[in-house]
Amino acid sequence: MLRLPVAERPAWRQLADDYGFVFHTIDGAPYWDESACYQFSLAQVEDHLEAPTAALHQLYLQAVDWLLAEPQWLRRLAIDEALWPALRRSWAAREPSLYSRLDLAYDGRGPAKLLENNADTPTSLFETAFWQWLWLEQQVERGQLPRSADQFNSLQERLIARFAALAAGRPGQPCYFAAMAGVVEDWGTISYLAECAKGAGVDARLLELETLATNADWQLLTAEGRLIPWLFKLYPWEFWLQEEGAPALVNGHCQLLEPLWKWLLGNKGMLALLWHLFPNHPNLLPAYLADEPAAAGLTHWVRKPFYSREGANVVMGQGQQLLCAAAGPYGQQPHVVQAACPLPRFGDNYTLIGSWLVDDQPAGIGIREDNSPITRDSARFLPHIILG
Amino acid sequence: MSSINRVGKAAPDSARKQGQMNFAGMAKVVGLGVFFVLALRGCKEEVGLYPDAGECQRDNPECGASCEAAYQRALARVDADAPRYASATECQDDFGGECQPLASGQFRPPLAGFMLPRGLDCDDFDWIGSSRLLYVGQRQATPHYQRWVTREGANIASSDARSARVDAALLRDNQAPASQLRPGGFGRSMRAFAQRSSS
Repeated sequence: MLRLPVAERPAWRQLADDYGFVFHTIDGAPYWDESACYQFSLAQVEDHLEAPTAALHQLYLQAVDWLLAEPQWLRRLAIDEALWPALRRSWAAREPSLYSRLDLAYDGRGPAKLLENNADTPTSLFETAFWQWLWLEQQVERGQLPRSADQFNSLQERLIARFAALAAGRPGQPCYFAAMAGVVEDWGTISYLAECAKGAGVDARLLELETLATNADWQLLTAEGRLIPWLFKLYPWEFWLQEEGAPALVNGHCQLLEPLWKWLLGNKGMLALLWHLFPNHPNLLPAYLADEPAAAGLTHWVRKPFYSREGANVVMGQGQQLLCAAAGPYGQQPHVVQAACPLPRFGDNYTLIGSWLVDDQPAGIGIREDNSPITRDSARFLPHIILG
Repeated sequence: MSSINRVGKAAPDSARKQGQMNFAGMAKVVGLGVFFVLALRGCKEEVGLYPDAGECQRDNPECGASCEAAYQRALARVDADAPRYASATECQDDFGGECQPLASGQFRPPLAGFMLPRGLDCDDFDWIGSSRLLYVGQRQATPHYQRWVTREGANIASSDARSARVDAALLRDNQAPASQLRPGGFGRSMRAFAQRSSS
């Protein structure tokens, strides 16, 4: 695993704008950064990233199965008892899921360690699936990279195949894609997903989440009153379930992506459950719920709220001392404490690997770099290649 | 944009790129507008008028399952769809026949059938979704007598007719009755918290 400087494509910003990838630069700071790329060997990708990604996902599925039969752990993970029947129904039916992203700490030597699972609302999808691949093709064409350079990235093909499989059970039914109005990056993600769905022959339609309505039968409808049989929502379940129309989400009228059971995977309390069920697994870090005595025994630790995003409210410490903390709005939640696994440093950059799954299968990686050991929403996205 | 072919090393079980993916049509996918295309219909539309699934199927031989689904949908929705009356007498004044009590204590006329646009692809979910429930008046000397009518009282055709041309605006009933639609209230809790939902 190397970090290599690469000459930027001369007009990539214009090209990005043309593609509608308008958040390549955020508040004047680069988000897409192609001044360098990461290089992996094929063995690193296959043995240290791809295989552990598949294995970790399977651990999560086993843990969900176990958890739903364990009222004590459901309470410890702060899952509202009123939701247990709906969660059990969703899991028993194995309601289909679309995608996930595991965040891994990996320095090229392995084993990769799981930091968290973005199983409900993962993003950085367009830049991973499409834009970094376009970068590779164009850099090969320009002679900046050898023709033998490859990429760990089958995300787009797998998304299209997944939509085709899901659509087979819903012939002719439109699939709606919802995100909060005006949130540019989220609309980028649902627009891209909708294009993947169209590529699979699905009648894909976008809508603003705030316009969703319900009726007396607790069916989900568009503002015009059209029934929504099938909906992808880029909106976290823990918020969604608190809102007025929530009964329409859990009664099975509408097929939701991600399904309700997937919400459990994103709860960071699951990191403690995984360690409880699979202690010393090579790709897991010791983790405990904050109220477990063992949590206080970790010398270098990271404390995370069950549902924070983009590194918000994450605190790193050593013994009693706080080393680093990220601000955020999620501090009032229960926390999990995980053994610290420092991200590898390349120069001044701390590097995190986001490893994607579609339909339970590993599908590629995206790389984020931050100047802080906690990866935040300001972290830059860099492309990667496989060579050798 | 021109299509981009992937050149990745082919390895069927690997998660690496597998060549020859066609990117055509994937261009400008992140456009931020909401690109609904609303179906534009002419002013009048030909509809079929069916008392039950069997008559629908005779008119649309390829559409047995869809006819059945449309009929079942009508049966399931009649309590919510039908015009409501405070008493059985008032209901019978308008419609005659066997008015049915509702859980609310009100009364409604019986379901007489449903209408569907003709000449559309019946495998299309929207086809069933655009069906409208119909009622037939049994009381002489009323405007509904032996006529197909919708819940708004739109007078479609004689109850003997099995097709008609109607205002396209009448075929918008996967619209729930407006009085029953309510905002889901979605998006508020996140809005109060953070700038974006994603992680």
